[in-house]
Amino acid sequence: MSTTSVGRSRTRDAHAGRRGGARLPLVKVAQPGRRASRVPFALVILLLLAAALLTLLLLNTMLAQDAFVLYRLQQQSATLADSEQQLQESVTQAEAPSALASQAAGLGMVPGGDPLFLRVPDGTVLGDPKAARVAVPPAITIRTPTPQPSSSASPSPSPSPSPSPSMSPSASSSTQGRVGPSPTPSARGASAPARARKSPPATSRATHRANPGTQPAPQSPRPQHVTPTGRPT
Amino acid sequence: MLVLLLAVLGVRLVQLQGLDGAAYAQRAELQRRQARTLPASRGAIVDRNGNPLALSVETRTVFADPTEIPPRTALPLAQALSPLLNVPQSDLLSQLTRTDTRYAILARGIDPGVAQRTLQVLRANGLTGIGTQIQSRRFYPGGGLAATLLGFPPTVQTTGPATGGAGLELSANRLLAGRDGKVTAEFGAGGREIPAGEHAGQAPVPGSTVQLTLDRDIQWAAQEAIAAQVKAVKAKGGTAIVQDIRTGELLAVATAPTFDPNAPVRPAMAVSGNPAVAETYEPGSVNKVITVAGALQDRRVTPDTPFRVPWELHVGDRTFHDAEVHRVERLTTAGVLAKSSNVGTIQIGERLGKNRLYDFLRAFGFGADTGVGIPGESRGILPPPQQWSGSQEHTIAFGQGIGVTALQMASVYATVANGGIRVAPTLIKATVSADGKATPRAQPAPRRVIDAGVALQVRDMLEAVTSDEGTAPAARIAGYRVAGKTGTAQIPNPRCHCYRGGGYTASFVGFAPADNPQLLVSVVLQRPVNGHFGGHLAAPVFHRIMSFALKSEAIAPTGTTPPTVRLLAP
Repeated sequence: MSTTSVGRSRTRDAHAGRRGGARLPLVKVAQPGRRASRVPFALVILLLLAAALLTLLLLNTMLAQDAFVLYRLQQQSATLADSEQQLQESVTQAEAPSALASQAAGLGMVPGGDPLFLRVPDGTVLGDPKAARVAVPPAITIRTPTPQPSSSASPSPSPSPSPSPSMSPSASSSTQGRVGPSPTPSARGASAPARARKSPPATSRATHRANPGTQPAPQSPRPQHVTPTGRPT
Repeated sequence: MLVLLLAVLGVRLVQLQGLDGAAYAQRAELQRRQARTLPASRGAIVDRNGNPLALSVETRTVFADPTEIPPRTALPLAQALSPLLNVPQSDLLSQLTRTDTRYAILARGIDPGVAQRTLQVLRANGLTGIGTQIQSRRFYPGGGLAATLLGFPPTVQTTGPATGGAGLELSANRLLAGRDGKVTAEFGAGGREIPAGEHAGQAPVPGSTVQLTLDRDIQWAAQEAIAAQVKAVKAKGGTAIVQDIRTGELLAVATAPTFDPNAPVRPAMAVSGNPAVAETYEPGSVNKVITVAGALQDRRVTPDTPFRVPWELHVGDRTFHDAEVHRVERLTTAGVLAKSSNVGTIQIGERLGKNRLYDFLRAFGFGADTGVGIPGESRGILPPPQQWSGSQEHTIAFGQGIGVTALQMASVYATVANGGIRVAPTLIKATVSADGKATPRAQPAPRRVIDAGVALQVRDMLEAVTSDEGTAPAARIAGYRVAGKTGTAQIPNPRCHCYRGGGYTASFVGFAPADNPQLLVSVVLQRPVNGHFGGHLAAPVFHRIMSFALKSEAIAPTGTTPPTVRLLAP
């Protein structure tokens, strides 16, 4: 735009010159601001460059510093993991069943005997209450009962709440196995008649074939042959 | 003069930067860049409740580079290290003064804390030439707990495949081991990684945790009980198995003798496999249950079928007899089983026939892997019926002349207790990957072997075994209904190819509560010296383990009355 305006003024001057005869000198028109605007630009670029360099330096320094921190923290974490591992090792060792058993033995505890269950509603003790081998009361496992269809079938003869050892320890064992033809349902649960109710053949049988251990059996009839005799049991 | 100096320097500069620059840069990079292996941590083996049975812990190996140790500092160094590493001074000195190597191991398995303190002490005194290396050690918190089952991990070689190993540590090694990672990066002085340097590699994949079906406490109780009895009767060995009848999960697989896996030296038994699955024996009377169950299933007998039972029986040129001399008896099928009569069982076996007996032996799992996944498992010895000798047909009926494992035998009784449905025993419950994802093991498909009604009949007969008239009153637990069977088998004597002097296998397999079977305990004692009857030796162990397991699992007595089982024929 500026060039066209200059051109127009020149032609105007030329006309004027030709008309008036007076010759005006040609003036080179400066373009103000062009050169002056480059300096701040370069400065800005230089500044940016310096800032970038500085940032990079700072960044690298920080990275390096963080690497040191990271290394130190990793070392610390490893040390802590080591001590955690050591502690865990001693805990698992201490809670191992054999360690617990020997600790308990050290405190004078003995393992409980057969399981006992106390039925909460009626206070019935299921099982044969006996003292553990050393004079320590037996461990009684208390459990809320599952609804039992027939509480009368419990091995204890009376609903006596006290688990005294005198309470017919043989009650449950005598009802095990063969009881013979049960004559009356009213006799169920009573422990004393249970033994008497064995059918006669059973008692006679027991005379000549009792528990295998009562006789020094295997050698008494000398085996005369090599076939497997399969000592029964 | 100055120009000359500048010229020399200029030439040198060109030489260093221009001509040899690349080589020097490469050497520097080689010094910085290192490839390191990132070892994957080995997974743990835990019991059903997540209690650890085997763990991996980090240890340090302390080594020396003798070339970096001046001869005059070797002695003070050895003096300083000896109390820290707990190694004799003379051993250290001989390692520190070696000239043939730059890697002389001073001590292995050192606690990381001790190793670090050691390095600090050395650094403070300006001593160099000592380094440490991370190494992993397997640790068994329970000591000998389930040691013969767990085994030990294979040794990893720097090149080639891993060697050695035994037990589950070997068979589950692929799950446990994980995958080592590696990193290639630039490291500065002191082993610090240079930031923004080259970094490539892959992270290690930690091994999975293997969860077993074992219960740590029951396993311990079983191990204590069997070990005590093996010692008391001077037996050669023994096994005790506890199984959950419904699921087939093994709660305990105990063997005696056992070993301490934490000890630096492992005995030979560590690699010989678990006797419960690797050792075959002639089962004896416990096998009668298959003969009786088969005959009942095929309707060859009923529980009340009468048998005339003399104390000995001549079949062909062979004579079989019961353990004790007795008058001719009239026993029912139930009586034959409860009183464990060989002569009676032979008669029942004859009714069943040898081909059907074989079918039932196979159906109950004999002659086949149980699929439990314990390495070194034996299938037992069960030849097809065409190969049976004349007498074998009769002996197999009462459990002689075939070979089974303790786990196979336990599985038979679990099948009867489970209403005739066989659930194969399992030992691995789940695998848990490092990110916590649990993968349960596929459960084997249950298979019906005998009818539920037949299983009930056999169960009642087995309950009579623990009655006063049966062979194992010692197995009874007050308040509970217990069913089971004793076994007293003869062991063949290889010297005479006969049974004389071979010793005995005393066993008892039983379950409780009899009318609602939940737990099965199998006890086997090999070659006891003091006594040999299963009812005397194995039944008390059964009693101890079953009592503990019932308490542990809080299984109350059913409070019912045992049924009437007729043992004598009218």
